[in-house]
Amino acid sequence: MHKTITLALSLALGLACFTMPASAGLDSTRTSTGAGQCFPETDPSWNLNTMYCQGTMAGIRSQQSDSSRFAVFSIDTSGQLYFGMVVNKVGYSCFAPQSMLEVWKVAMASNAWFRIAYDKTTGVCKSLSVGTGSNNKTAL
Amino acid sequence: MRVLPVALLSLAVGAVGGYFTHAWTHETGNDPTARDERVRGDVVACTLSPEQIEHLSSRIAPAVVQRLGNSCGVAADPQLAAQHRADDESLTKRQAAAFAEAGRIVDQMIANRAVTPQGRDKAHELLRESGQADRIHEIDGRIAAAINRGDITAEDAGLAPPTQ
Repeated sequence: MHKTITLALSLALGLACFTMPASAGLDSTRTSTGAGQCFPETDPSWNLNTMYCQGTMAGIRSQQSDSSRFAVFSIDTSGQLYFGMVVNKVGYSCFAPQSMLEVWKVAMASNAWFRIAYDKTTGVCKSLSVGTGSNNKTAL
Repeated sequence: MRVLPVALLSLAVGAVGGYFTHAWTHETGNDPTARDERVRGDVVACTLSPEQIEHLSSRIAPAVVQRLGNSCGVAADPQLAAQHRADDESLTKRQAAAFAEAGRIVDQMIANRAVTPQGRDKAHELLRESGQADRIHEIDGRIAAAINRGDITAEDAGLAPPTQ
């Protein structure tokens, strides 16, 4: 009797493991940075007002865990450079100085990953990196 | 008696030799680089026009202005220097006032939770007119900071991307 129960449990557990899709719960084909995230600077030797946002447009678009999530790089007719992102219904944003115009254009035109740093108190962007990497499958 | 002519001759030869030796040691024995630097310094100073010297006079120490003026044969005008200084101070005050007014406009829009393009344009114009176009992102940054604090949303600020 005891052996039968153990065998049944093993069989059920095995079935549960092998029938569950690999992507269930976790987006295993994409890195978490591709799906988009914002986080604060935690190193006290740096400016703790600094926030970082990163991801890829394709990764943010295709992630399904947060329907509010989006990211935008924009420029208007007066030349103002704006970055905005929403993650879990929380807004993150900054305006950039004109010195960042060239890299801003690259960020707007590409599907590369981006990583932006800004001062959350002043709302001024501090740096922006864009790039492509073979490890990031959403950077099409 | 024969000693005196010899002594006089030796003295004369020594004097002539000393004269030429002195000239040689002072012209070719010195560091030529140092001499060039001295000459170059004079040339640099004198490439400044009287107007440039007057302009600089409001920013640098009067003694330096005086020296520059003397080097180039230009008398620095203390009244003009004072005028430049007053103009600079006036511009700084005007710029500070324009920046404060632009900030007030933006802060008011944030308080009303309605950031309009017209309001932003007005704030931008104040900065442009006062020669501070390079600081527009600082004023707009207040809007971003309000979003970061959660005081307003990107929609309130008119910054959300259009939905299809």
